[in-house]
Amino acid sequence: MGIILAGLSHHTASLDLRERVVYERSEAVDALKRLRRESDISQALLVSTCNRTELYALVPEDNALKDYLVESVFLSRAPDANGTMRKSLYRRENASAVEHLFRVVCGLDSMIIGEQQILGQVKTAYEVSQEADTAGTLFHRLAARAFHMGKRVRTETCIGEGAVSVAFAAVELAEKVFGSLENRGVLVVGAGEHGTLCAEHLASRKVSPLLVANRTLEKAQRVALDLGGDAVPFDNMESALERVDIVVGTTGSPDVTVTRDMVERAQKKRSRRDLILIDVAVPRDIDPGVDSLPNVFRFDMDALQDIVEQNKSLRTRELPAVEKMIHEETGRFMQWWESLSSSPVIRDLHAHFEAIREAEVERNAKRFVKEDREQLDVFTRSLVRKLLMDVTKELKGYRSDQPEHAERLAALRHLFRLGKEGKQHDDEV
Amino acid sequence: MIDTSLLLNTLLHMLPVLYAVVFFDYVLVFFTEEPLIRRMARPLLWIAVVVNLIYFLTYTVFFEHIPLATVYQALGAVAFGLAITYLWVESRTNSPYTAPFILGLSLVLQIVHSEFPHFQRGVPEILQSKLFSLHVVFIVLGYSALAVAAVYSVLYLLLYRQMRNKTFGLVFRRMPPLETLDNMNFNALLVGFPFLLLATLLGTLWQFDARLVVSGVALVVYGGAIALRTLQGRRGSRLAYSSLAGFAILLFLTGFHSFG
Repeated sequence: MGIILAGLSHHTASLDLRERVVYERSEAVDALKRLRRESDISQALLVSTCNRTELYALVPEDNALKDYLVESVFLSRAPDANGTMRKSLYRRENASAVEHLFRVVCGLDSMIIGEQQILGQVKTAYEVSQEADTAGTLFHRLAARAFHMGKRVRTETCIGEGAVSVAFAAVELAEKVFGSLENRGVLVVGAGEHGTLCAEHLASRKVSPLLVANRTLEKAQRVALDLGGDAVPFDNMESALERVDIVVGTTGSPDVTVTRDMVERAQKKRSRRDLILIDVAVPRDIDPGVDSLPNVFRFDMDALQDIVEQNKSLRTRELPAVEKMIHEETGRFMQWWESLSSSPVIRDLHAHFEAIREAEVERNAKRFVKEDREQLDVFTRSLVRKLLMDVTKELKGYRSDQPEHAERLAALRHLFRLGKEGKQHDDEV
Repeated sequence: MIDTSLLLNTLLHMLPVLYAVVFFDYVLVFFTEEPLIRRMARPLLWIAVVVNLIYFLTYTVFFEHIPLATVYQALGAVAFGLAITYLWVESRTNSPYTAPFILGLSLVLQIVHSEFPHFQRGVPEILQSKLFSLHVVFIVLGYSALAVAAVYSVLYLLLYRQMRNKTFGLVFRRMPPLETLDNMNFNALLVGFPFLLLATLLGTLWQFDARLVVSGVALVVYGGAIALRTLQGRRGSRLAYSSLAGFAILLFLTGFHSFG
């Protein structure tokens, strides 16, 4: 028995291929139930996002079964592209498969290193697995350790820190000036793609009011409706400037739309409070001359791109530390898994009782004359062996890949605090 | 039987060492963000502050007056005030990155303080006056708060310049938002200003000298900054410059009296 991973991702497959093996939640539940019904597989996890579809399963050493998995989950979804699909698929087994899952949840395998969304997506995959009844002892533990890792690397390293898109960089800059953006006014000038994306992120920070000005009022109204804000006529832009703290320029007009004079007049009326001007238009919308006005911060695409690049390199610098954590966690997980086979449990159980026996004999030795002590030793040794005889016989028939056997072996370790794994488990409980 | 003089001497010389350890720990946090070092920082500062408090109380009980008889003791008290103020700030903001700037100042003052010990039971007659003691206490509290305001002003201006020049360096990444720094500066001014005002008014009861006139000028600068912020919403870089100007006047043109 071993853990197998079969999958494809943005590293190996085109979007065209990836979108054919995306599993919606209900489809994933059905697919896992079918695997359970039609094969020997009792534990499986299907992670399916726009960037990857990966199946993790506990399978016996049976190549035909492994081929069946690939056929059932991947090839059957694209019968006309089996050749390309086979080339795009990768397989990992045991420690390598576990390490891969940890890398995925930590965001190391994502398009944007350290991105947070994947952690939630793997959590959803685990819920699906529970719904399909394919999350046994092993996968329960695997998922728990994976989520722990996902959180740990983001807390203890900078792998998930800083904005790595222009739109988020704009929000990061605004937050660096104001802290919370709640109830800060935003004016979006124009309806360019970058600008509306910035405005969407700002809107999620509960900014208010959110105003949209465009040369075509109807277009401004449409964008405002999408963002949950209000449209203002383009000619009233200057009075709108007085009501806001953040301006996003996104018209793409060949001329400057927000001039220095407009900003200077607005600043006088707003007591020269901090004003952020984010210019995501090329050619630029906001007059660079505003840089000389106090408490006015102008950021154009170059500045935003600088932030993005810095944050990306900051995340890349954290890779060795995260890789080390993942490697250690994989080692711990495999050690736990191996400890669940019956032989080490039998060995540790006997060692546990032998230690108790020895301690008791030692404690009571003085009550016996010297000649009897040897007999006492023989008698107690035999007693312990007989007490454990039935349970040992039973345990020898256990297979860790059988969920109920694995549960009982884990319970024994826990109850008697057997070995390092049993103690570790206790600590975690 | 504990030898109190020996105890006080030991504590006095332990203080700069403790503050140095805390300072370097926070400097490492600033540059490396190492989780273990970060977890150690606040408990270490607590230890330094508690030892400082023990020294302060033991001195007061043993010598029957608070340790504010000399300029150096006053500087030690300001150092203590800065450390306590920073502890409060960190508990509010949960950001350890402004610590090296405030605790660095505290460390320097603490070193000066311990280099010039003053262990005498008797105090000059003037220091036996309750009103004068109050004047000294107000001065120390006022200076501590205004020093904090000055540090936050410097940090504000550093971050302000980085953002205006679009150079997003370590200060950009580590500092709290500009508005938080601005509010910290303003709140520290709100605490420091009344103490300085009361201390100056009490000071006129004994003598009216150039030092008091300069204190008056600093009060006008601080008062003006507070009034403009409250009435006209004048904040940001201009508040930071006013706060720094006020502190520069206090630091370079006035000073503490010495009676030791």
